[in-house]
Amino acid sequence: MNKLKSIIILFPVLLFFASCEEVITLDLNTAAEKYVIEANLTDKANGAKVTISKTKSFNSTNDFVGITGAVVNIEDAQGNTTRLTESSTKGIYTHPTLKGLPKSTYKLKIEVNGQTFTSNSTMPEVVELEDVFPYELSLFDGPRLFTHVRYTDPLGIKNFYRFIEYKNGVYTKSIMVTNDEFTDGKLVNQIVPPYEFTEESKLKKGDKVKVEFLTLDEPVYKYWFSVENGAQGGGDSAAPANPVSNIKGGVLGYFSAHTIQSKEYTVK
Amino acid sequence: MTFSSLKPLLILFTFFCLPTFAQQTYNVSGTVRSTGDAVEAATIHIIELKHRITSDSAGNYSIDLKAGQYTFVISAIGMNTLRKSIKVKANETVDFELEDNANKLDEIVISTARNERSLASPQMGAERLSMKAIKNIPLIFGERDIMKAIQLLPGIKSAGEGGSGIYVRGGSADQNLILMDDIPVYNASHLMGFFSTFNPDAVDDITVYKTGMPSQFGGRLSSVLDIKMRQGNADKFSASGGIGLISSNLTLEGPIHKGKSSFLISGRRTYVDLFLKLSPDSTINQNTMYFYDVNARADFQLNENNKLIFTGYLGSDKLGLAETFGLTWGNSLASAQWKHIFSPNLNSSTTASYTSYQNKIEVNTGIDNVRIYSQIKDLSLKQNYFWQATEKNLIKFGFNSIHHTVTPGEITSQGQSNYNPINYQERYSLENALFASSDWQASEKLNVSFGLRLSGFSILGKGNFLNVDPDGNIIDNTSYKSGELVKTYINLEPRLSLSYLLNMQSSVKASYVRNAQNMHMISNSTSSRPSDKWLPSSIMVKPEVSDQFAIGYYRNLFDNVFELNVESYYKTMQNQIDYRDGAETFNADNIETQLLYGKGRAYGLEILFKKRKGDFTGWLSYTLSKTERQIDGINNGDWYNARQDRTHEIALVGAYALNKKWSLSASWVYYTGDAITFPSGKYNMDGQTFFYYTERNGYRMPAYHRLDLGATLQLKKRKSYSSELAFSLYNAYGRKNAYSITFREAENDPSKTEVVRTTLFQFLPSISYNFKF
Repeated sequence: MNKLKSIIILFPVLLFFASCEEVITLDLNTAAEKYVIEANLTDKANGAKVTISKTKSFNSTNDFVGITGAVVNIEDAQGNTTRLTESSTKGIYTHPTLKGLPKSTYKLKIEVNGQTFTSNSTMPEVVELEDVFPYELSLFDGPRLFTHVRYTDPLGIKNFYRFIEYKNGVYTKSIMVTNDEFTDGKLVNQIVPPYEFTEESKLKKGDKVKVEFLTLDEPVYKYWFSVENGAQGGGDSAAPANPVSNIKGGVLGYFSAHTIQSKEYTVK
Repeated sequence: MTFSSLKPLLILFTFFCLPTFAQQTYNVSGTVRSTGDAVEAATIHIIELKHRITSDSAGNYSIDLKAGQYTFVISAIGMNTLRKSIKVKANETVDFELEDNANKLDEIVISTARNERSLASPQMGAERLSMKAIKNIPLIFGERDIMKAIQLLPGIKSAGEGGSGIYVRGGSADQNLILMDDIPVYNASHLMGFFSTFNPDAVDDITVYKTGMPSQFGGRLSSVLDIKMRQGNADKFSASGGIGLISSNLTLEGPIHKGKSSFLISGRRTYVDLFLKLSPDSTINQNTMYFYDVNARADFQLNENNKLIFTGYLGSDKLGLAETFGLTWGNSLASAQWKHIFSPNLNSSTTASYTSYQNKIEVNTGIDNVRIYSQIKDLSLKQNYFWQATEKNLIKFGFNSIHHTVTPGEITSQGQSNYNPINYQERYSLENALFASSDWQASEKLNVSFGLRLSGFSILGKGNFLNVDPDGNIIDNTSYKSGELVKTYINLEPRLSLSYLLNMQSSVKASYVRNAQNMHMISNSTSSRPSDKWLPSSIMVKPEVSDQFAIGYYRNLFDNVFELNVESYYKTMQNQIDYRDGAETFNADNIETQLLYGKGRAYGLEILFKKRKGDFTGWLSYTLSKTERQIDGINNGDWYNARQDRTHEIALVGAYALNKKWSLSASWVYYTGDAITFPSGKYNMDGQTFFYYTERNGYRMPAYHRLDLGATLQLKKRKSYSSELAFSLYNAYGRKNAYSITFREAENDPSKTEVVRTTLFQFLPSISYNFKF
């Protein structure tokens, strides 16, 4: 809700006062390299995936340059350790069968070039994804279809969710998380706002939309929530900062043990 | 003892006691007024006696003089000095009428009035600006907005393009005490800050204190903005108004009882949304965006010794997106003031007031219906006494009590909704202050003002109060009963100012002031948002405290045609508050878990050079300053530049009276870009590019500069009707100043990243028609 609210408040100002956007060049520093870790474990097979890379200068290309030769281990609550192996793409470490169990805590340990990074994450309970559907709303750019996700929040426990939307197989890049601070125990019809309010992002007839529905633990929710604070480069935060990581050892990124479900619809 | 050793003593004796030496003394008393309004703190200098007295809050003065001929020189901030010869041969009443020196249409005068009075007065860091004075300054949308005009003065920085928020001497936007006829205003902006709450037609003047705040003011660290509403004309009815592109206003005023009581009512409404209605695009014409405000004031002179003043204000902004989303916010203010004269030497003013700022968000999507409401509400009583204890010593004292009620958020829903109703705890507190000050003419050249303010902030139940460890974890949560005292913070705030007249043209001054602040607003966005909330001090949130030292040099040049002020200050700030990274700010009950505390410092040099007389008037202001913060948990605990740290800031303002019909004006501003956080790298994450930030505010926005032009055409002027056309052009050379700078994957090549600058307002013309009859 926060994200949509800030967009709604800011947008009219820019609309009515005819703003102009222009690409400029800016001389930015290049900070010392830092490791970047993106570690996921789901309740489905093939969901264990860890990618390791490094930060790079602003003017370099955006392609992924993986860090090879890392030792990546995930340990379950019983102390069983599984090593993820490097896939054919450098810097991506996977396991074909490893999957997590809801309500279990997992430990991640990564050793790379003499540095060690650790984290743990608890996979929450599954909350049933009931429906994914389009619903027309008229905000500041006229009627448009917004994808909505329906689920019933379990009463009395803290829940954290993430919604990942794909349009015709392409991730929309809209990072949308929510908790149940205001919705504990309710039937929720959660809106998934588009990344940008542009003509292209409007859903059209025949578009296939898929939403992945994740239940997260609180530190992972905090990571995605704090992405709003400038990690994607926009927004009006007075003090942009890196997302709050749950990995110890001085890296950027997160370790998320989450459950995942998905549903699709086609725009009629 | 020889005679020679007695002589100096005798001279001294003579000098100090001259008035009482008179064999036959008479009392001369009266009132100092300006266009019907009492002038407070006017200086009355009796040249022959080298003696000064000051008028009280009702403009009254009184002095005993022996028979003879005297020259009275009466001066006040923002008024033309009046010189009058008076022959005293009996008790008599002599009233003085001062002319506002901003009065002339073709002349911009900022009324810091570096005349005799202000050179000698220990008050420093204060600027008075009258509505009449800013009439000709070209301002955005053609609105004669007083909050924007003061941004052209040294030490006062704009909080953003076109905005009415200000930063004073390194303080943040919430550290300004904004008073409208002594009523605190919590949100001084309309329309995201592009308009201020103050209707130009209802405002008389503003006095800004950047330091040396008189002890009757307190509760904010950086500044006091003392805005006075206009008093209605007690002699005849009149109407005035203006029709502009964005807003129109109408003011009616006149006597209720001729010569004794008056009223003034002034309304204003914007009609941006009417243009929206014209849009053929049904998606736009369903939206609403407007604000209105109404000011009202009534003055009743009951008798010689009693006066009652009632002031009211109601304003509201409304932003709506079709039927789906609505945002409404506004202030409501009301006050009653009683001015009473006990004796020629003692009088008082008593003010009871109510102020409220409320904000409501409504969402109704058809499958979701929710309303979020928040409010801050104050009830306050202020008592001021003015006592002319001796002819060289004016003592002011009194108290101020404010009861605050903060409603941080109530969520309600109707019908189908995702949301549970939630009421965050209301917070109650009582803010009390006792204050006293003495303005003492220590010698012919030395003036001293010493004041003390004892402020107490008592947090009251009912409610739960958190104790939080440095990592933001809750240690304990204590419950308090209704009305139970949770904690009291006491602060002793000394205020000291000195002035020393070097000669009749120049003086030096020095001051020290401490301020404490218990109502805080923390904002992590760059724009002023109606949803920004005020947070009272709590067990964890300590009062903010600032100490400021300042020195200054003041000089009049070329027969007072020019004046030069130079001030320098050093300020420290304690218990400054900021959000943790990734803070969730909505849950008011747990807000303390999201906060970090630290300190700040600011120092600078401010120069104001002004031409006050002639066909061409104007000023040049320059500020050199540094503002830093140090907060554990931000920037590795190292000092960093505050966002409002701008090294250089220049404003050049000029007005030229071309002839009787046309007057022209221009202003040019330049400042170093804000300190800002930009990325120093990037990385792949989540299938997209994320930006990597290293140090807080380690970069600068591009330098900002802008030229505005204005012209006023006086149309036919008759005795009963006059009108004018005012033209302005904002950003006349179309400088593309950065409103924001953002980073993204390049639109035409996602393998690259690009920097995008957003610019508002290039060449923004406006025209308005103003009338008066």
